[in-house]
Amino acid sequence: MNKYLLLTAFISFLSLGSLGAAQDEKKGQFKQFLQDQTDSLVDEVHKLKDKLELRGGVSLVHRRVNASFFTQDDIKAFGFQTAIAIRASPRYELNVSSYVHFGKSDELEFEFAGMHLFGDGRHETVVISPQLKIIPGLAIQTKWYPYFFAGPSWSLQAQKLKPFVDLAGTNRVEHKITFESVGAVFGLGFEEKLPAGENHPLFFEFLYSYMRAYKIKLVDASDFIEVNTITAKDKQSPINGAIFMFNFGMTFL
Amino acid sequence: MATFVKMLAVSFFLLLPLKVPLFAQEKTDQNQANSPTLESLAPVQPKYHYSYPLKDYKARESLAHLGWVYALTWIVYPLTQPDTVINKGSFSNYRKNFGQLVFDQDEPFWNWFVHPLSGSQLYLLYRSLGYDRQQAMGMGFISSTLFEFTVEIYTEPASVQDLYQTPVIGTILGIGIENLSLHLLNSGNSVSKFFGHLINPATLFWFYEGKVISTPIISKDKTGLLFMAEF
Repeated sequence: MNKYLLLTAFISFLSLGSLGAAQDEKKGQFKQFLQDQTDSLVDEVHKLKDKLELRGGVSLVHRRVNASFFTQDDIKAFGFQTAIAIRASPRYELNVSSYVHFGKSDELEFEFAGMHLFGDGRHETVVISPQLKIIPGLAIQTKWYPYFFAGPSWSLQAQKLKPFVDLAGTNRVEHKITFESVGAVFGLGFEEKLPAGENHPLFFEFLYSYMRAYKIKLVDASDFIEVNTITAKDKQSPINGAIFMFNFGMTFL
Repeated sequence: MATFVKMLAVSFFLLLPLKVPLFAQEKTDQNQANSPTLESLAPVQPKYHYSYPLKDYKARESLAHLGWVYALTWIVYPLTQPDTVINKGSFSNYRKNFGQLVFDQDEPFWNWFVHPLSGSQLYLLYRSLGYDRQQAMGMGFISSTLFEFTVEIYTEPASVQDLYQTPVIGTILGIGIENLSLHLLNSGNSVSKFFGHLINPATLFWFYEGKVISTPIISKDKTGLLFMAEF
């Protein structure tokens, strides 16, 4: 009987060992599978890397801001532009572009939370826009080719304000009003016909964008390190605007 | 006209493509070695060149680099902004900010100077590890995204501007700093070399050159890095 029990225990032990070996084999297979998947992902990323382009340049901007029903200002601004792009095919490119520019405005008047606020100086805009760029392949000259681009845009504009007294009677200095907007961007450009990334092709483009504010905030910027949002208004507002921009730059990568 | 403008822009930004295979190693000056003059009989002075030799990393190694940089961000963030972390940071904020993406209201100095500068140093760090320019930009993008979405949310939500501008403007700035620093480092002048290392501190790390010892100092009163360099 004891012998029989011993034999059973030995067989059970062996089967446990083989089960462990099977588990190890499965683990090994899974590890190999993960390794293969990671390698193929890295290969895909490497392929994508060859289609990647990084561009940057400077912008000259004419910006119209309609701050309320009765005030508007035309702001001349200067800034810079960057884009990270993936050339999906010789004719199409997907990119994410950013436009940042700084101007000055003293004319704007804002209606915000029952207060009249007046612009005083620095006006800053940042626009982020995913775009589709189409290259028709019709070279005007041998050296430059035209392209068109369009896409939605999201932006943040900040206008420094004159000191004011709020509804509670508190003096407010070094404040700014910011408005987040949504809109669209489209434009036309010309780029030098050179292999990207090696010769740093130049480009210049004309851009138009229309935007409408969807969120307005009054911000206390008296502390340089840490700004504080005092109040925010989410509803649709009459603040809207258009941007005409001339960009000039080059491909870095 | 276009060529002139391009030359001007390229020279200004020191974007001279480095096609000469220079490496951060001691090399013999070929002209000196091949010259059939009496000078060639004299002991050849080795010339030290700085550049970025590329390394072919496996996915696992790249993940390890990302992990180290990520761990470093958890240390550097509270060290560089202790007041913000103490006054505004909390785990309830972390939960609230998780997954949020907003336009931040920061002053231009932070958005258009500090963040791109951080991005450029991140780019240069990956370059010094042996990644090429596109890879360094990609690694910088992953690192800064991880920082925005999982570290900085301890105090504030992730920001659209930082997410985009840190790696993108950071790379453009980084390319400029890279070329300028290599130009200074290869000038052979000790003062230029000092400034070359100063604007591109990643060239001081052991994995790049191994000639400079950097020791972190973290104490109650001060935080910093002590460099011991050989010129």
